[in-house]
Amino acid sequence: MMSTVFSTPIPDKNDSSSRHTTLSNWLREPLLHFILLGGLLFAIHHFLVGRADDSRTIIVDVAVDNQAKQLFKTSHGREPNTQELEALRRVWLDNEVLYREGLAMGLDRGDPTLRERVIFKALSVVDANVKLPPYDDKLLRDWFEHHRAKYDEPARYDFQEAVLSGDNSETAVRAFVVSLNAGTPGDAKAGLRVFKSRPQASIVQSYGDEFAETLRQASTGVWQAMPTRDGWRAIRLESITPPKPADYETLRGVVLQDWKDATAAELRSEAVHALARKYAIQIEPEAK
Amino acid sequence: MSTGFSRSQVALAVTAALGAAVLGVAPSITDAANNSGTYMSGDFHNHTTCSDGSISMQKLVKKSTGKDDGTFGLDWFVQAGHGGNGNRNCTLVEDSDLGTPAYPFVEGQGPTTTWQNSNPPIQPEGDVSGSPPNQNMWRWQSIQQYQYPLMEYLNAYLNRPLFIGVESVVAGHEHTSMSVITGQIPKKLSRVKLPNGPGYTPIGNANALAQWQYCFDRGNSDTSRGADNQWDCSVPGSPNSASPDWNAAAAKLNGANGELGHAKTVEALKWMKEFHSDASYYVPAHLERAGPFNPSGNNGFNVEHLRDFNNAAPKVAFGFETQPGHGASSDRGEYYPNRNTIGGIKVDSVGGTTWGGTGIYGAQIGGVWDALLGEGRSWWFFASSDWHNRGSFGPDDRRSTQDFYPGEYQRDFVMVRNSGNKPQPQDIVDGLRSGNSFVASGQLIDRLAFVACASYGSDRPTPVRDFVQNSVVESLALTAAMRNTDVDLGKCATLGEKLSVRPGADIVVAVSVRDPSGTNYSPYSFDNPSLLQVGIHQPLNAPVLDHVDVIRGMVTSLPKKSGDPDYAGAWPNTWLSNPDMSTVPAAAKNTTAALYKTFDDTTWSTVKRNSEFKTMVFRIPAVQASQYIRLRGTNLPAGVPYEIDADGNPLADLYTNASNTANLKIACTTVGTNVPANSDPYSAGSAPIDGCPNHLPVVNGQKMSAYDVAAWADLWFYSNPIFIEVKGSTQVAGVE
Repeated sequence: MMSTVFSTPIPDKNDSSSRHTTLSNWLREPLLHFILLGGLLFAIHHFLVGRADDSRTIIVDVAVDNQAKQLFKTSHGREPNTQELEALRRVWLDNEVLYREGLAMGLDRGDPTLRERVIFKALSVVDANVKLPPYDDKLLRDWFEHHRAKYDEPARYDFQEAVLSGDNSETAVRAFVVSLNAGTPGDAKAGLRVFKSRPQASIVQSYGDEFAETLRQASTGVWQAMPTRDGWRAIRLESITPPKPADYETLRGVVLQDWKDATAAELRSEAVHALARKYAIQIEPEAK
Repeated sequence: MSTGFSRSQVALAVTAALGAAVLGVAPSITDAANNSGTYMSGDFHNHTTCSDGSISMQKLVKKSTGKDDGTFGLDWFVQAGHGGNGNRNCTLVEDSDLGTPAYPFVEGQGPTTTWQNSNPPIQPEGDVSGSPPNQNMWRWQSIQQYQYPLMEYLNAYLNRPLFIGVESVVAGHEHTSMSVITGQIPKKLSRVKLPNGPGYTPIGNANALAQWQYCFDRGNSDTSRGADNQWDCSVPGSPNSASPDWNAAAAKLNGANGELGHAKTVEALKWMKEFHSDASYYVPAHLERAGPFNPSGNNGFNVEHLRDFNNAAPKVAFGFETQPGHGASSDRGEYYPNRNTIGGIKVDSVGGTTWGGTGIYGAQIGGVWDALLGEGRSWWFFASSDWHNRGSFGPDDRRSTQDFYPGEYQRDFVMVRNSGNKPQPQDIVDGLRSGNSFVASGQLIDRLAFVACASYGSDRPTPVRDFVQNSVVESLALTAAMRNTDVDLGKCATLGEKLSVRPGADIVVAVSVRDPSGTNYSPYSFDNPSLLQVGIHQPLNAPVLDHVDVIRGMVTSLPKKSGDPDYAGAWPNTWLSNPDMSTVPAAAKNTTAALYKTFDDTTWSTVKRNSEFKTMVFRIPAVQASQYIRLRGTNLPAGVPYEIDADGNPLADLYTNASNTANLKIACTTVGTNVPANSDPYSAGSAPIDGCPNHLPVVNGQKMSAYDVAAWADLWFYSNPIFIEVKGSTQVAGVE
């Protein structure tokens, strides 16, 4: 096309026939067609897009209808009829007016619910673009071995606590334990708590390391005073189930889903961190 | 233990009659059968588009009290949005299915349509703010002219106990659930012929509530005296116009904030006591959320403010909503650290977060609630939904990252003595005031009977007599629970009541609960992730009551008066990092309160032919001092990491609050086959979600329990107390 421009003769400005000929030539000129068509397209685009970008213009389009239909169907189990759809459009329009007025007044700023909603939607967009890498059995097995602690069966403990109310000093608990081992029922004071199959980690978390170790070394069937981080307790160990390593083949389905969740989360975090790079981030001292 | 009851009700009656004689009480079990009251479940704090809620009044009523799938079947309901003003017309409905003859669907209009854009347009009155067509209407007007008429109509049209209240924006503090029911729902409403077409003229009114709203709500800056109402907010016996804070044009106190605001609120209580003593209630809402009291702002409530309210109007200010709504929020109850700024300093919600879904004032044994009970005050525990919206999901989605509907998660079970008739608002307010009520979340229990009876002669104990007495009282409790009523016998007391005894009496205490079988309203059928930590597999939608704790405290003083020692004191702001009772001021604690007994399935009795019912019985021997006992229970055994400590106390909900994922501790590991995408609607009638849902936060590749999942995992019930007043010991003066 560019070569056509340079091949066009320069008209004589005093020659009318020449001008007519030149005009005819111009009207047949592909460049002119290109410019006019382009201009027309630009005008249409400006008209449409410009309208959409205009904060004073509200377009109720097919997307609004589709959303209204979906919400209506969710709550009513059927599509809205024409009148109902028209009413839903009107409701949407009212809401859109209020929404824009609210934005104009800055009512969206400082609202944690709105912030959370927008974050939620943005994260959904990020999620939609996350593509998991291919996987095979070796990759999953390696991943399983790397995270074996999550799947192995821990040691589990069955034990009981004869509950004392108030005084949980070592002296009081030891005296109570003597009485329990002499035949006093476990619920004689404030009650009896029965624990079954408690994993070791949860015992450490709730009672502390010292208690967990004391329990591990305790004899079964005997009331014993045991120290916890919150005071002494009267405890009777019933049984210990030893730990058991997990079997990959049995858990393959669970491992696959866990790998998918973990990998997707890593990719999501990377995507968010990549987005963060376009911001200048300043961390200010904490408010006192 | 499975030694439970297999007795028929006839056998129970025989045993009870025998035991009544042994106990020295005249009436037989049939008195309980004739009792005209039942426990009815309800909610009194929730929002529509008239304030900042997301749905219409009709939709909220339908969701809360409907009996269909996707609705939550409450027995009574008080619609109570924020005080102040709003520009949206919540009497309009979303669609034709929600419309009623008098309030039909209006094409092109919904509950977010502004008052002035309504057809015909509705003009706000008084000092109007905003720009047309979005100008705000004062709550007094919307209650008086639009919201009350609709509630009265729905009460009659649906034949359900409905009335109107307000979540007041409190002068000097944050919020309070309240109502003045004078004029609402006249008894003759049942004889009114309802219109078949649009428009309804009420026969009752909410004028008293509207006037209160004008006079005392912090959100109301209208000075018009309620336009044509020309209200005067004077309180008999108060300075009123002689007060330097009096606004003569508005005929009310300014009460801008802080101390002046609190003083205005005390005047509000005096006004209710003076004019509507039996017809009012005033229950501070989510009262730990906004932090401690701010003398120069409008934050929370300290214990002294609760005392001030109760002292000013004991029949009106009789409890607190210490178990807040917003149970599925990223910060449960919307309580969180550094939430508030007071005097330029960041402060936590009191207690930092909720504790097992309950604020620290109610959750902490020996804390603020026990301090008030230790003075023998009528001060009761309530919960609410605080419904606004579903967070990230639509209003008909069963998942939530913000609120539960009224009745969906928390319920107040209140003794309503309506003699078999349709309950009136007065019946419900009387029930709230009585303290004969309990709160349960997640349908953990739906029946409770709690009774204490006196037995004398403990200086000559006989095992047979004790066994018979125990069996009698246990039978009374079981029968009452089965009939959804209470035990109403001389020499016995139940929730909210006082048992007066001589020194040395044994107190025989029995509890009966129903742990309903089947599923609750949770949409999740995968295993409870909190319980999985300790090796227990239990579907989230089929919780099982694990244990019941009995908490006892001593009544050591009369209700304190302002100026008495240890009247005032703020809960320490360091509680989350250092939950040590020695840091709590004496005014805000009762050091005598402690766990007295605990029961679980090894120590309670399960009824053989109806295993939903459990009973437990114990004695408090030879009482010498006035005291009270109360109950709590949960689906979680003691020692579940990040949920409940080794003594059975709830831990901070910090570890399941999604707002800071670094704190999340409980993995949600179940992989399901029916786990809809966040963007796919999931509504009533859908199969349960059988794996950890996609809206849970992910930390290091692992979904973590939070939002609604965390709430459904951690369920509690709390009962109000029974007081035992021992002659010659401290008088339990605040309880009838």
